[in-house]
Amino acid sequence: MGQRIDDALTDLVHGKLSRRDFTVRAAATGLSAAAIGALLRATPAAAAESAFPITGPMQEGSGGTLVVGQESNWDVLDPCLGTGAVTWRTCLYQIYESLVSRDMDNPQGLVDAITPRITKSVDRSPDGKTYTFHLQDGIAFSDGTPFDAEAVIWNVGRQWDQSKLGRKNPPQFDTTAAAVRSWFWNPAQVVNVTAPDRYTVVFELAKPFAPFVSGMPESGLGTMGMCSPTVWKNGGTPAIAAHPVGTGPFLFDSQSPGDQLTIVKNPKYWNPAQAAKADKIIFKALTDSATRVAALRGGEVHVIFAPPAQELAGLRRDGFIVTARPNPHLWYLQLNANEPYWKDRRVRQAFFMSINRSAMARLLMRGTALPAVSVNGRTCPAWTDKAGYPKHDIAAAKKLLAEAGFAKGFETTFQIPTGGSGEMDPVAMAEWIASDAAHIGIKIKLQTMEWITYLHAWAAGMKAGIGLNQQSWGMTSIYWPNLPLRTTSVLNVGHQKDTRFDVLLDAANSALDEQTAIAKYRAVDALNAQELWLLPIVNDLAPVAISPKVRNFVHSSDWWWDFKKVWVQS
Amino acid sequence: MLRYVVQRIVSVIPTLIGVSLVTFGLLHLVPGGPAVAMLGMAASDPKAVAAVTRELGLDRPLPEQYWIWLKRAVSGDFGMSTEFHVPVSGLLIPKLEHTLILTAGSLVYAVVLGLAIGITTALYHRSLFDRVAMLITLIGASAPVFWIGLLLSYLFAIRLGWLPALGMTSLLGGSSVLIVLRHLILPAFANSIISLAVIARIVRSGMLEALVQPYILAARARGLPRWRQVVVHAFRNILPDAINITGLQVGFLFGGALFVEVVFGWPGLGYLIYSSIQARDYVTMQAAVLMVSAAFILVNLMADLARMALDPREARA
Repeated sequence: MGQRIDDALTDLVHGKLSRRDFTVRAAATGLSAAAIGALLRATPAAAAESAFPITGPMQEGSGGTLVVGQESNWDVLDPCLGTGAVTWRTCLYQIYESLVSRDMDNPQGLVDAITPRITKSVDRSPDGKTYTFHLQDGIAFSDGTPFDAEAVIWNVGRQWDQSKLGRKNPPQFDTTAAAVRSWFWNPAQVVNVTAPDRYTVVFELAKPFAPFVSGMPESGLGTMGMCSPTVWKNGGTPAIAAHPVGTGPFLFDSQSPGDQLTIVKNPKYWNPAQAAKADKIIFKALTDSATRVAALRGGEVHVIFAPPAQELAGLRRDGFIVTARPNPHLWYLQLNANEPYWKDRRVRQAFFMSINRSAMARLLMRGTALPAVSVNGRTCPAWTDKAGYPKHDIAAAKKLLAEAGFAKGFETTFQIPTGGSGEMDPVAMAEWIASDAAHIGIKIKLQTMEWITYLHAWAAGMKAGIGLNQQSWGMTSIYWPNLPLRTTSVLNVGHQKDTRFDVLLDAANSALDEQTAIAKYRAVDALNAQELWLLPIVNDLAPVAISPKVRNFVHSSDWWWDFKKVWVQS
Repeated sequence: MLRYVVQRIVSVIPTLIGVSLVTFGLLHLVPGGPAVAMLGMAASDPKAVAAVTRELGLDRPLPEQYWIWLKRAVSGDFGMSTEFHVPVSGLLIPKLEHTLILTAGSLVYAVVLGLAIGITTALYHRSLFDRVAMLITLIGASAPVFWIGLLLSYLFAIRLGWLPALGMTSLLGGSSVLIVLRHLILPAFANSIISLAVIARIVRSGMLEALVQPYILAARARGLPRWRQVVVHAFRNILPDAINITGLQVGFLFGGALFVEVVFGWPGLGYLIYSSIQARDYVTMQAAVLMVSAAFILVNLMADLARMALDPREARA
């Protein structure tokens, strides 16, 4: 029996066996439930931290066709309307450029580096209410339309709803674009956008908003992905998605929606030093993970996103390269403040302490995630591992629960999607959490839903009887905590009413220097670490498997990717 | 016969309207809508959802929405996909062509192998070959198509490297007819297995029945060679039934291509329907389901007509 248990433990530590399978094998040897539980609690500490490189082979050169296998469809090829992470990540980011951008292909891993591209520089007025963007001159969209202040103001006009200021929206205004980008325009409170000269754009704000520039690139191309106004003038909004024209290093070539999209190198890219290295990139939608792996092994694609965790070891053994890197992703829980059992802070703390996030990241996610220790994403400058979140401690959790009058625990319902954008493996993760919570007497009933149905329910806020739900999001911009933690935010789906968060967030947003803003956002994180209305669980490392033929592949530190330096050896 | 054909064609219209009504009703029962899917995380803002819902005309009464859709559909305008922002007709036609190629390939496997197995097992009734073949067809008919697809892909594409693992054309090497045929071999076979088994079993039982009929005995008595007894006399008599079941299988193969399309990355209609359900792309869904229904009705009509042509008793009835 001893040998069999040792073998099972070895498999568990090396991630070859899930906790559940380990339990089954251990029970088959006649081990008691208590002994199995003790082994499970002790084992995670023995597991080694998984490590992945963040780049593939780096080599000077150019050429080739890169074929990328994506885990889902891209949606609208319009920088204002594309909402899926896959759409921003791959297609849009290569064709369009944003007023401000991030240097995501720096292998050293910059945090929140705002890199000038089509903007030369940005000035902020001393009162923090005016931002002046100085544009690169001599740039044109790939259809020959000049990129200048007029083009920027035209693009802003598509999504900035000026009717709230009592003005008429311009003809290019798009209701859906304004709705998609409302999370930025509403808090930014822009009152005027003007062009003092051909290459200068000035944004005037009603009050200081510290994340104004860092928030711009969020959500793919964020609010500032620039498309050619001429395309719209010739064919309206549908023409923008049908014939994408930007200033980026790649040009749209063709697409079969939902199947295949081809982009080619832009031979006239305005910045030759940053021109694309590959001749062509083909994006292929391969929604089935086994199919993606088969396609990579069969040499039909060079890069696959979201390879199954259990395939990574085999792929590495067979010569493929698996890269991974911290990014803004946060997989988190929100608790329903209207449910009586969560009203006592000790209960929330006990629940959080019962969840073994390290073990979940190492064993369940097989090292493709890290335990979350902050409400901020790991690439955000306000991220810290010293926010003070309690550590996993079953005994202390039981004690806290007993002190709060719940020595026998309670029952609650956990609403989760079965999959979705950035959701990792939500059902298995929820089962893990339920299993951990059961150790302190909290019985969790899972209520699973398909993604869009879930989004609908999640957006409406938690109803009575739902104790907690889950979401994945996060930003490199310091702005992110405003969304789930501000009491008046529509993303406060747990209805918490602690206005101390609002006071700190207001102070952070109106800070006139970055260090003050970061300090205030860290204070928000520290307050949440005490109050625990939002429970950070894990950060996805988003593994990607690539063929050894691919050169200069650098794993992105953000939700979106830059392929301009990548090329393929023939 | 002409009257029957006209009647059948005319009856297609109310059938399609019924299908579109049912699809329309069911789509609107599903929680979450195009606005939520289009907005993604921004759907957390009820004002944003309301604005987009209004923009799409989804705040109007359902009968009005249906009437607007029907009027446009009759004139050939199926609207714009809310998922891709491209005209639905331009989206569906190429996908339909791809699914028809897959269906045709699957049908070839199902008919050729189904008939061959059905006839041979009937001729060698209760032999080891009969028992093994029937066991294999039983397993084939029971196994999930996507599982068979993955097994085939693993064996022939990854382990042996004989055939491509995905797609309809070579992503790096072009799209000639031969390349498409090479890509078709695995997905068409995976898609055909259930239909193949059904055809084989029905042909086998029909042949077993036919082979003991007096006209076979008479043919044998006249000294006709065995192949003429089987092919000209026995098989011809079960042909109407075989065509009928094959016609039904065409619809099955067409509709069942979804799983195979996902597993083999085949860019067809099934995968588009799956994706449009996930994205709550009502416009694409509605048109795609209508197209599949029309194809199903058309194939059944053709099968019925072929059956009547082969069996004069049916035409008289």
